[in-house]
Amino acid sequence: MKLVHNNTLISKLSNCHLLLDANVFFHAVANDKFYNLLLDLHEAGCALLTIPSVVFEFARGAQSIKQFNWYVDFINSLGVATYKDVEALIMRDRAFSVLLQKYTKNGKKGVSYTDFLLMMLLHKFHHTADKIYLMTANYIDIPLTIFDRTDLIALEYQHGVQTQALYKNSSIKLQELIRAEV
Amino acid sequence: MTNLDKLNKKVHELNYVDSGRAAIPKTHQNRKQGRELAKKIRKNIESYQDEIGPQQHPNLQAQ
Repeated sequence: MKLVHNNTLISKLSNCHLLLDANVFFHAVANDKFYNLLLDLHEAGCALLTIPSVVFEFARGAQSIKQFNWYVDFINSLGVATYKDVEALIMRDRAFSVLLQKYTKNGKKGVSYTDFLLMMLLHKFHHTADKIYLMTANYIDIPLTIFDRTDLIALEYQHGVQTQALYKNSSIKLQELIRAEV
Repeated sequence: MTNLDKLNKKVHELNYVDSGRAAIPKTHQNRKQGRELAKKIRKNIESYQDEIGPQQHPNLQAQ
């Protein structure tokens, strides 16, 4: 199984924060090369982060405590930190929350709550962290009217190709949206 | 201690943090152990292809 990404990806993400969606963990389980890439990123100084609802989505197949521990140990094996109080954190940014809901409408169906929280964090830590990116294979629900898609990682499987993408906050796009709202 | 308390003690802890990169944990296991866990989880997910999502590229599906 091939894994294709930019040669400079690891050096680019060293000393950055990287938020991980649940599909990242599923792909890390399915693809050893992708798992190794995440470990390489961690070892290069990239802080891997996730949130409790992502852990819930990833581990919901567990049928016992023993099985649940496999999922937890797998996440911990990557050196991933889980933010505890993500909802309290984003409550202080209600205006962006409303904007985000407006621009993440996918037909009548809105974005999932997990993806919403991840995007709120991506925005929230943009101002406080050195650099923060979101990694997800969900290319439909991340609005490019707000965020920039900066990198693609192609994962080859027996029956086709999947793509993980990196997103980051765009101050220019955000300023334009705010100007339109005021 | 109730039986539920006993069970709670068996559940492994995630690396929870409040904020800041100072608290980012080190990896506790080597790559081999991580891959062993991946094998166990893979077996546990019956519809594994569904979990990693439908094919994203219609062109590839058609091939």
